[in-house]
Amino acid sequence: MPRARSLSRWWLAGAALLCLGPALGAQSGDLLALRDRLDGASFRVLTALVDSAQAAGLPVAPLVSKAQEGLLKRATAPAIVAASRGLLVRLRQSREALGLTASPAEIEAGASALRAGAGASQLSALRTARSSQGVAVPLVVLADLIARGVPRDTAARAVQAMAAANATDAAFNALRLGIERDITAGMSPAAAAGMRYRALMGEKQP
Amino acid sequence: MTRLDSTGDDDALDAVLQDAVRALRSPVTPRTVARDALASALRGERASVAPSVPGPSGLSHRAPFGRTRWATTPYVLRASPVTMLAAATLLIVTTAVVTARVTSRTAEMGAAAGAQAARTGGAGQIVRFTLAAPQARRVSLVGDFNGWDPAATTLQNKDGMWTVVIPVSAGRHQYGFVIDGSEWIPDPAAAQSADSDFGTQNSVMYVGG
Repeated sequence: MPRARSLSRWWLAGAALLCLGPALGAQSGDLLALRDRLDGASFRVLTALVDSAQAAGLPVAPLVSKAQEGLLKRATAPAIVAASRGLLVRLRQSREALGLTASPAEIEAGASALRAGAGASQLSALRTARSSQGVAVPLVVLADLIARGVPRDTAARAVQAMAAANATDAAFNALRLGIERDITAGMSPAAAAGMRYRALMGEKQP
Repeated sequence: MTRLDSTGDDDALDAVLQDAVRALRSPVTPRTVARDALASALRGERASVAPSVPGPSGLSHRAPFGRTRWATTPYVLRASPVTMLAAATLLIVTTAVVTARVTSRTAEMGAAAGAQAARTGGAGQIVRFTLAAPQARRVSLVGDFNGWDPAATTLQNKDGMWTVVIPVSAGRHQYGFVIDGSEWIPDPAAAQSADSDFGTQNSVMYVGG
């Protein structure tokens, strides 16, 4: 009987190790890696932001990445918290505009588009125009066009029209690439966007 | 299993019976094994049982935790009800914690992977990064594709020209270089830049799918 008890303890210890090991390993995630580099109050706020995003079903990886970028650039803790909070707001706005069924990739791309200057209503319109397909690639193209200087409404109109015409992701990428080349060649962003958009839609329409 | 000669081997049969009874009383021999052995003995068969103490019969006995058979010998785990209750509680709690953690991590990883795939509409491209920095002792590439980790991607120096070639997922990425572990510098060759939230300029690249 003593031997049995001794062995049962080993069994229990082994089972506990097997069960607790992965849990303890998961604790040491990217967020916890920031603990040593932020003051306690800022880390708690950042943790609350991440928890809030997680509870709302929003992607948390962009928040952690934003904090890592701030630390790399030796930004102050308040600046890191402010940037992360702003990103969380955009993620929420993006999800509200794109709907509850939006994928994490779409939510992140929508947040980037909002950061670039797109409006929430333009995100919703894009979702409506391309309801049967993902909108992550069109949103990334929209953000890129606005960042390149294409007027917001012009860029949004072009992307929405292409979405309504069931343009493929490749067509969106072609639009972005063509506009980039035209701008590099000296054309104004607005003119380049208009010309490329008309050309692409002309090819699509019978 | 060997059948005994019931007329000329009474001593052996008695021994087997004694062994089986001893095994049945043993705290470490599984009762099912002992019971089967006893039943076999009553039928006049020689069975191999596993008593805790070798019997005097001269028949071959198995030590329950012998040198080579401990892994295959059935073993009854005995513990008090309090211990079993504690073990069950521990297992339930840890299983719940592990499940929640794995689910969370899986969702997070799925989100990241989805974002990359969606950015691309494909797998991405092999990208070559270069930076002329003759005075630098160490140059790192950082961006949203490697968690802004200066230790993740280090460039190789050749005559002052620092180079690295890495696969980058498709999509729009922000990045830059870190010289000697401290100095942030955007890519001078980048066609596009963007304001970061920290008062610096990030280089922007678009990787097609």
